[in-house]
Amino acid sequence: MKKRSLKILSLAFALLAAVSCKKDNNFKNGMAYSDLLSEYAKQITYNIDQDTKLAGVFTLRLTGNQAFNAYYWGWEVPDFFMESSNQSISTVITLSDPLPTTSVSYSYFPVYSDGTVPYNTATTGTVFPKEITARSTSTVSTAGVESADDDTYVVTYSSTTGLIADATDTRYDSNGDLSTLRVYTFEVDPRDSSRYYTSHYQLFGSDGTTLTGATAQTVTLTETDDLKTEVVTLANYDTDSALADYTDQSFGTANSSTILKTVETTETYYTATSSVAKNTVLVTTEKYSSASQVAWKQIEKTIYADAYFGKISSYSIVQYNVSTSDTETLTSQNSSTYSGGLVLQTNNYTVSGGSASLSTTYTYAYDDYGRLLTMTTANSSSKTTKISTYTRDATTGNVTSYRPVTVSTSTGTESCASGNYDMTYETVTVSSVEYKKITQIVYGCSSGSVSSTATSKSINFYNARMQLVSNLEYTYTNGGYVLSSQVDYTYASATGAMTKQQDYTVSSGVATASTYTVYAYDSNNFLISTIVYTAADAVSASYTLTSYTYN
Amino acid sequence: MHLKALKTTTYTISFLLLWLFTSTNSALAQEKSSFNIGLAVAISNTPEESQLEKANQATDFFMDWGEARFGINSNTAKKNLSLYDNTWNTFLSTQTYYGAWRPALGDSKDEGAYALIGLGYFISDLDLGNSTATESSQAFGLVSGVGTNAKLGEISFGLQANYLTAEGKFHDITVALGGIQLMFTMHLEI
Repeated sequence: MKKRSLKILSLAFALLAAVSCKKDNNFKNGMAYSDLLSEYAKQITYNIDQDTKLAGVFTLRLTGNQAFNAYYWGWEVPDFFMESSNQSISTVITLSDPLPTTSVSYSYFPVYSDGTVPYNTATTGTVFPKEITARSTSTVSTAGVESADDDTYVVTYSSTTGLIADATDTRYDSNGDLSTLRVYTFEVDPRDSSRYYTSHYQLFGSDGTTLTGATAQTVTLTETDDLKTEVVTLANYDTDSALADYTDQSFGTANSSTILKTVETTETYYTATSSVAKNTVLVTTEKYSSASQVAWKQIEKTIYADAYFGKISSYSIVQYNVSTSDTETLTSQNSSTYSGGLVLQTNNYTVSGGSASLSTTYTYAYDDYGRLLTMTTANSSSKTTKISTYTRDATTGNVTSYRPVTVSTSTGTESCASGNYDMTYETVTVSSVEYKKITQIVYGCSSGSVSSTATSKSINFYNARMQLVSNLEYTYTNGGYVLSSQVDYTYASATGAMTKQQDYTVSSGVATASTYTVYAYDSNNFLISTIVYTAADAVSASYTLTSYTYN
Repeated sequence: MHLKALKTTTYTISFLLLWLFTSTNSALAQEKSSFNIGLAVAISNTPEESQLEKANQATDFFMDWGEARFGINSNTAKKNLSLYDNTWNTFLSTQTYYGAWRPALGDSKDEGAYALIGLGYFISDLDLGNSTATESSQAFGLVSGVGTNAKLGEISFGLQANYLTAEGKFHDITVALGGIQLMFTMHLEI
């Protein structure tokens, strides 16, 4: 073989050797976090969003494209109930009133039945109630005589766009004289999660013209492929021009200064920068003592594991006092780490002289379904001080017992801590209606161990919507449970609105029906009256009757 | 870039390589040029991306002209994915259009050992399965190899080891497109 050939042969083999190690781009992870496969990801959606105009009582429904754990969400968290299959969980929400300043917002991430959390960011956005044009009230005496009040609440809408423009709340004292006048002005919200926001609030005195105080709000949004920035600024004024504090909408104090302005900046990073990782949400809240002087600052940093902003991977919160020379001094610090979207560890810090030192660590352990099993507390020297253990039913996953123990840092000896309880779950039928019955028996400690006798017991009955129907509290006295209190609730079958609360007086373990409260709603399920009756069915006090005119 | 234009570019680069090597070796330039067409089927092949496995045996169709080789290498790799409670196969199909310098390692250019080094244009499809649209990627990469063949009249048989390497981007997924192939070759002198 020629010399040249040998050279080439060695070159070729060297080349092969150099490159023959395989490449690892972590293909599976790439696929898991790829937008391309989002349709396979576990997604959740709400039945309401910012375009919905909410009734006074509504069912908030959260639907997954795969099953939630029926027991976990139906029993363990009685606020929610399974609906129409185990892919939807629901809860009945009641709005206080349909005023344009009332809004709700939900963002909730239930764990799927396999213990994983959703991949998407699901939120209702800011949702407002059904639009009204006016509210009027009257007072009804115990004798049933109705007299109209002078108070008014009027909402106007833009004649061109039909969007909400302003609202005026006028109130009178018992002499019929004007007491306060409140004017709200609304703007279209640039964020796609909300329809409008209150841009101005003005509070006038009893003459109806002198400004007592005003609050201005601005919301700005800028978005690129890399970063979305939302800035919400709130400022208080004595007139519309000079910053000043006023009681009605005070921001309070921070760092010993009266706060006149707050700025909350939410930055969502879609791509990494030199200082911030990809998929980070940074919320910076600054409280100002003057137009330009920051007195206090808080930074909340949430890093998500993927581009869906569904699974948190880490969270931290830090607070600073800011001096007039703009020196930031750390005052508070906490952080949490997550795995698979579930919190694994929370670190609390003690801050002294601007520097933080680890004080307490909480470590969480879960079962295969993402349900909490133990929480371990450790001190600053990483020595375990407390272990809280949940025992779960193997089939349903419901908590059957909770046993916290304190651990001696010197000897490691475990001893009983307060808060021990056992839980039982039953389905009972009363007058052919099924109820969920959840019983909690509380135990104290005796000589370092859990007492063999209970201290108290509580029994809650829930209807099919997991609304509390009856609450019974017992004390353990002389070897037996003795009823100490009872309250019953009744709900409208069609809407789930609470219609009645029945109170009881309990004496020597015997409950006797006492006063009851009846709630009445209008056709949009907004509360219009709350009437308290005596045990003898007589109206016990005068009440307010509210009437809304809808837009 | 249009596919045809890219292929032309690849061939042009290969020609330039050929010219470079032949012109620097006058002895080679004086030798009689030969023209062969051939087919190679992989006995074994391993995808370059470590989590992928072969889906079928790679094939290579080529023509040799003097010390130049032009060819099309086809390879399909797969990954059985279990994600989001679903399990399915994802396929990565790659066609590599390449031009390479093929110097003889021994005394004879027509038989015996040879090496391959050249540039390839990798055209890949990532089939994500089910109802998700297939993603495509085009990338330049490297083609190299060593081989040997025995001449039986106008037909030659041989063995060839290839290493192809390139990196493809499919939307937000990065995948190594190449592979290591041990091939059985057969070519015909024209």
